[in-house]
Amino acid sequence: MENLDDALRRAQQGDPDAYGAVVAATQARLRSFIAGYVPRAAWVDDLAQQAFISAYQNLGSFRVGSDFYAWLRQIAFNHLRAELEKTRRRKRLESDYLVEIAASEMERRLARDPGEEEALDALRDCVSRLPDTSRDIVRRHYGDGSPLAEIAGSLGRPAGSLKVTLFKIRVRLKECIERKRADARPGMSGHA
Amino acid sequence: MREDLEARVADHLDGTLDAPAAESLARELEKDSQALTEYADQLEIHHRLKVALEQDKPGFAEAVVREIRLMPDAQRFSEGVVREIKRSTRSLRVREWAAAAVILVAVGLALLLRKTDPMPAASNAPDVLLVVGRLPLEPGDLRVKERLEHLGCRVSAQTALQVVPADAAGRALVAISSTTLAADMLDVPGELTAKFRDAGAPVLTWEPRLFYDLGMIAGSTYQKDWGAARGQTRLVVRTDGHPLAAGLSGAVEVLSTPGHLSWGRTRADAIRIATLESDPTLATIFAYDAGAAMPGLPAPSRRVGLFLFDTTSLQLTPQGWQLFDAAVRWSLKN
Repeated sequence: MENLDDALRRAQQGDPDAYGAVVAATQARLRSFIAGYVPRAAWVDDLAQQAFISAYQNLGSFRVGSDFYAWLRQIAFNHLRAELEKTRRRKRLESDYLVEIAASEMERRLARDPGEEEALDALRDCVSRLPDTSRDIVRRHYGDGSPLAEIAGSLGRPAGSLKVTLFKIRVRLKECIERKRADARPGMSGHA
Repeated sequence: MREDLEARVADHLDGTLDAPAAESLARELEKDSQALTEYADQLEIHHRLKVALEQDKPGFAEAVVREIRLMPDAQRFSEGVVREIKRSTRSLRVREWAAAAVILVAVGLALLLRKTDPMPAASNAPDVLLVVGRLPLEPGDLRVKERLEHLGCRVSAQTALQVVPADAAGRALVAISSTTLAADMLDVPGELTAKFRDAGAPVLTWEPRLFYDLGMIAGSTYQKDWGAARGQTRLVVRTDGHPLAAGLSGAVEVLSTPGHLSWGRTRADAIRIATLESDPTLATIFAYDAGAAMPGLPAPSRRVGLFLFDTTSLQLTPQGWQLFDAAVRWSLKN
């Protein structure tokens, strides 16, 4: 694609296709950021879309040449925080209590540690380091969208046991990402 | 995390945990902070894996651009396109220029026609600022905007995050939806003041949390001083004969299906038009005339608290709309 700054300049002048190119170039990274803090998967695209639209509405105030993604992420952060706070504030008004307590926990995390710069690449790298069978399960389920029951059938395993296996894989991936974060922090290198 | 909790979290993320089991899981996680942390870790990785491993997100960028084209400033957007392309095509040959112009006119017309209201507001139409949680408008807010336009108002919508107190200047009415996050409405975060507390324009709101911040009720405690009662269809009009009662009295069905009704605990000096059916002290429609003593400050202009909630405008009965219309009309006669 063309240079991001060129696309941003054209978008500032009112070219929707240029802004579409900007969205296409940054959406995976932004959606990965949002995905780390939401209680429901459906929020990811909804909040990302809101952030992109807000960014477009305020594009005139953005200085081309500075870090567009950092600016966009701050907008997404504000939308995310507002949505989490709203869900928490409505506690017990809504029927999905699990979403409410998850939102409270995610809000705490967002306030404490809003910075993950390369979560998307880190997670992809961690997946690539999984044992073959685990990696295959993850790729088929999350990449291809295969239901767990189908994967379990092809592996000759009960679906229930595969769900627990996937739970353990997610624990392992979380630990892998945390190690990468610790290694990336100044003065924290060499973490086992 | 205990093995039984692990299994239920795994079921939940696989979409196979039923509602009662999910409720029970939530209760247990709430009591066990370590388990809650691990549950949040699971959610984080589960959601991020979907983004990280999907091949491409088909249509996402297109959907964003489509939303932008439908935004209220689509006209400015299309004008920008026309201006920009005109600038860059000066050197084109005449035939190409003419062809481009035809296409641009067609596109511009299409966008302008999409924006054109079936009943455009008159030039002297009351100018209403509708403050909402997000743009594009959610269905409930969109329905309210359409109704305001039906009443002859010219409506501009802004999000609570973006709006500033000066935006009320010259408005005939500021209408604040419950889709706003109250924190976004605070002029100084953490302090008990709201962006339109001192506004000279009339304020009509159905965000119950703001009743206190706007000085309209005396207490700030959720469920004691303000709230949104769930599973309601009726309110009780207790001050019939007032313009805000819209000619109605007694129990009135305002929602076609059970939903939330916003309420506030008012003092005796409020104009208390209607209350919850279950508690005559909890007002679902209340108001103050300009200059009247409110708990927080003398009313700078008319103030109305209304029973709507986020999406209840989608369920309003004709009587419900009568009460909404009455609240708008009374506020506009400030």
